[in-house]
Amino acid sequence: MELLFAGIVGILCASGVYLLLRARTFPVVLGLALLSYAVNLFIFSMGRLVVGSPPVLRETQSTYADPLPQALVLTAIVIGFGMTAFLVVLALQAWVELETDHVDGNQDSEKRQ
Amino acid sequence: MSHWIILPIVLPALTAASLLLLARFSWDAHRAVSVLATLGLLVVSASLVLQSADGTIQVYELGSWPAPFGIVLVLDRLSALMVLLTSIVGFLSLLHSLQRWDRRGKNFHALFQFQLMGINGAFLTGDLFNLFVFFEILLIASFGLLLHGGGTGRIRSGVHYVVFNLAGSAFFLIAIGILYGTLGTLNMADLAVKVETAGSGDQALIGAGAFLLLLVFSVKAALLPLYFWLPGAYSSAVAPVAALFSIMTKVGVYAILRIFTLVFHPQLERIGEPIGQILILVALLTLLAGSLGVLASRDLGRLVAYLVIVSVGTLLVSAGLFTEESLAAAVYYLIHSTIVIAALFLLLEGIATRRGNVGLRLEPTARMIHSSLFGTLFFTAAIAVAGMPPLSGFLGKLFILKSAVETPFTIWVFSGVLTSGLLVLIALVRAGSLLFWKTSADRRPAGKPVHAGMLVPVIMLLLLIAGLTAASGPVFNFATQAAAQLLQPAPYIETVLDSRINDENSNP
Amino acid sequence: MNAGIVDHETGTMSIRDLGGLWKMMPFSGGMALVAGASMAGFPPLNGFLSKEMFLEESLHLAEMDKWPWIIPLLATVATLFSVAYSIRYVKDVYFGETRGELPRQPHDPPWGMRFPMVVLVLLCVLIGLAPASVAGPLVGVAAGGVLGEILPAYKLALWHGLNLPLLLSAVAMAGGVFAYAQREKIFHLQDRLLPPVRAERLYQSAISSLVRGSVAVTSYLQRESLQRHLAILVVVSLAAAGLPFYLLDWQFGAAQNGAISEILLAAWIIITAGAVGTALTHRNRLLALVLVGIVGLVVSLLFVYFSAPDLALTQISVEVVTIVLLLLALKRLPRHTPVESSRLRRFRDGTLAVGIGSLVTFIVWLVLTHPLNSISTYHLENSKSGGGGYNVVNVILVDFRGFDTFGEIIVLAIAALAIYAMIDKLGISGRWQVGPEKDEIHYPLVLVVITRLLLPLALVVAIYMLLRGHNAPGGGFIAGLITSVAFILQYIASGIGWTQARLPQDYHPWIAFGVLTAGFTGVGSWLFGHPFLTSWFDHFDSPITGQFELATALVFDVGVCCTVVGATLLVLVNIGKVGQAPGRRETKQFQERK
Repeated sequence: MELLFAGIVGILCASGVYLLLRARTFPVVLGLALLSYAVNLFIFSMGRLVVGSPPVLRETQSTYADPLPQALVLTAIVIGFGMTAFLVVLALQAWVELETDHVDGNQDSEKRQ
Repeated sequence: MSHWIILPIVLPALTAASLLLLARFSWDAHRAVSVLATLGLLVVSASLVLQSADGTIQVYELGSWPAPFGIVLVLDRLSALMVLLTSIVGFLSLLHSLQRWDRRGKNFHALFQFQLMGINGAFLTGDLFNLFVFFEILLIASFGLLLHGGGTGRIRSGVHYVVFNLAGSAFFLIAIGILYGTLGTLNMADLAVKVETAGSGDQALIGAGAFLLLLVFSVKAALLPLYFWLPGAYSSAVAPVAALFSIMTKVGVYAILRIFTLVFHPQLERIGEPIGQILILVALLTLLAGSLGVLASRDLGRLVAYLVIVSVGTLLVSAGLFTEESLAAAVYYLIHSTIVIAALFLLLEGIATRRGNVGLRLEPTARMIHSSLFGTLFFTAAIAVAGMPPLSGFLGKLFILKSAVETPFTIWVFSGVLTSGLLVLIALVRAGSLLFWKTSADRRPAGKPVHAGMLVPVIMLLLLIAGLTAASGPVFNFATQAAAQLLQPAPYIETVLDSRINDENSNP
Repeated sequence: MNAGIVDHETGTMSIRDLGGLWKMMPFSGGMALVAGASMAGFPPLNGFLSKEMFLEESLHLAEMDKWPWIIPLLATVATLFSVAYSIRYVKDVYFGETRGELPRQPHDPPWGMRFPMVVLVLLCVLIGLAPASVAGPLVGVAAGGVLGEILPAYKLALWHGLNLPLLLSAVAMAGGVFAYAQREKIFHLQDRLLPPVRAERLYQSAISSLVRGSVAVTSYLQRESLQRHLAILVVVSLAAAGLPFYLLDWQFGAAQNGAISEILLAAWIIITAGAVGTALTHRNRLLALVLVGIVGLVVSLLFVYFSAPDLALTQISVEVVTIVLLLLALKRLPRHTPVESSRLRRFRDGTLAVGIGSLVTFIVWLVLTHPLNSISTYHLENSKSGGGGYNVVNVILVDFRGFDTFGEIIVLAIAALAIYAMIDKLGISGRWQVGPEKDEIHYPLVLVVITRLLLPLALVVAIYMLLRGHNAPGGGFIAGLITSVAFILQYIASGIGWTQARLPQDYHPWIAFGVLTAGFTGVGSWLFGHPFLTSWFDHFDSPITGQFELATALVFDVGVCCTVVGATLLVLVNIGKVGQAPGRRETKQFQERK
């Protein structure tokens, strides 16, 4: 089971990094989104994988999943959302002001209409 | 119960939130609140430095939870010093921004206050994940401030800056994940304890975490080969923002100093030892590349941005030696370079205005009005930053060179620091003579007038440099004591984890 | 300084053109005479003194060397030439006839220029006449600093008696006068033997080649390509995270959870397909976005499966808002990415990606095989007793690590503020309009009705989530996100114009209220002598519902909720407002249609 989960994290990471290295802002945004999924799953798994024991205290339950990584990931998700939103608006602004969505601001050979 | 230690974080945060409500009312009230709050910050941080001066380490448990289960703030000499530096540079940059820039976009003052909060938090926190959160706060505030004022140049370098740093944040999280997954804690002092007692099977994982942390902090501190985002970003930021950025870079340096003396300290055989050597090597390369960049700049803004890189390289070369003397020299140089580079960024604004269309490009143009005033200020700042006597730059470099004597790296440190000093000096001399002497024959100055208020912060910062020179004895003593505190992490760890031990003793 | 004065007054520095300046600048000439005499080493000036000591020391050295006479000989020759050029300076510039055309009529300079020169010349005289008293202490300190504590014996006096140094001085002086007289012959010799090397030109060319070199290096390093810099970052991180496994010890642990569940396998398949699909088809942006959405959904399901209900709720709500955000952006951005990278580039990027992915997989797998000894046992134990809640994750978020949460909502707030500032700038620049749609959009009635009915339901659910968060999955974030989604649906269904007339125009105060509430909850504990964000809870009795629990953490959560709502709505509504300004061609079409 661990290997399968690790594989998920790795594949998300790989696709995220690949898209991050693209030349246009939109794929970069998608890449960062995938990368953040990967990183969130990474941190979450550091608490070890436990099935069916949510960290909500109950008399019927004796073992619980590790709550700390869950809290950390929650924080990371929200922070990531703020960053993503900012980057998207920046990409939009770059598109408007620079008339290109290339990450370095290089002009296209044909201008958009 | 003293709450002073958390004020540098809570005060700007609440100020910023209140400013959002005030925005709909008088603009003057808005500005006044911002300035007063920053002035208050200055007073608080001065008091914090005094509190830390006798060597006591103060721990503040947030939520009344003991470390390592809750988050703690830790005040020692170095963090107090950094908070004071932030307040000084922040206050003077804010004053400068009142002249022109704070009106050029929305929400400037709120963003500025939040930025101060993020920087102060990063200096004061004792928890690794909390450090990440504050890094993100200061990062996103810097995004907003960088883009303040708009314009294609800013947007272009903004995209570069944002994406690169977001990628860096991802690696920060991975590092934290690895360390938590292996050691089971997030508190820095607790990590230090657990790293010492970790089993041999965990060494590679801990090493991976440590090196990833070094990578992330190097991105922030602008070390080769991760500094390429800096010249574009810092040269396109408006002057008060760029001046504040000069302390933001030092957050990366602080993080390196803190983590690699507390948690992954040089006595740690396989992991801590090589860190120093890697640091020195990377810092030397940064120093050289940065100095070449200074000389190659065709634009004053880029020139000063590269000076930031040079200053980081210089002080990390010294810090990498990890002796008390070299760390003290690094701290002294850190104070000096932050102040003088902030002064330069603020001064550039006035120069650009005065030169008209040419702006900061290093091309000959008509002589500017009041060129003697600008020239004197530029000359003073240039001497200080190049490390020429008699100002604090010279003393700082002297301390660094002195601390490198009788270490295995003497020749490297000497050649690196001296070569870079020469290159920077040549570059500044050429720039200065172009700006003020080799003016073109065109007698009509093209620039616009500069309000005196824009130059007052510059003068105050340069006066601080003079003060730093005159008072170099006491300052260097403080720096030495701060360095000693860094190199002996035991009191820090004990003070932080003390409360937990007491708890365990009272609740068996 | 004297030369500077000559330059300033006459406009030229060429000795061949000067001469006879004494008549016009007697004061400067006098100063030059004294200074020149000192430089040449005439007694009783300080130059004489220093030359004497210099020659005497060189003789002492001669006693110890293999070729004993070389040093004193060189010293004497040097002194000889200094006499010669001193005479040349004074005589050729100030005496005789003016040889060339002077650009300006010279006269003695103002006192500001004279004064520094006078001071220095005076020092020359004083040190010469009374060296021990004037210069003695300074020499002692300087020499002492260099040599350490022990200073050798020395005597600073004008007259040391008739001895060899005096003789050498006399020889040098006579020789200097002779050399001056024969100077034309020396110039000829110099022109023939030595190449015309001008130090200034050498300096300039050295500097410019240095500058050219640095420009070359810097442009090579600093090529402004984000992709290149990111690639470097990825490579360095591969090295940073990878090398320790090569150099240090690691081992697989025993804790292997062998059973592979079908759910995990299904999740693996879908995520792999989604992620790889996105990477391969990213040029079709809408498709890529849908695939990313699917991946996010499955991640959320993974969180459910692995016992993280709060996390799953947050992930799914953030996912929804993110997709809306990206769709709004895609409304204005181009729908397709052109084919740009070469195959080599794609191969390189793919390799880097696979490298990092594999390393991450390895690390996760390695860590998961070891058991964890974590501080979170404390959190589990003290969540009810110390924090007053059963939902440990929520208690960590608002109590144990509430400071992190405070920072987190501030990140959201800052993002919203910065975005607002950016979109405001877009509006000001005038090229794109920022405001409600001008043209009429046909909104499907079914969508409108459903979203309208959903709004009160969603708000009830949100409040419920907020209130129960402390003891069951829920909490401020989720409540805030549900509220935001409900409101966003109104904007989507009925258009910004219609909705804006009925909902708050400006969400800044919501953000401010949220941060201030959270902040003052923290400050409140100061009043009781506790650190920031210390929580308090107690049980109360209410007549209808019975016993219930109140915690200050709830107030904090309300602050969180408000900030989330304010920030999310501020961002999304403003992005939605960005519309294209009708270009001239389009306006014409529009008018024609009308």
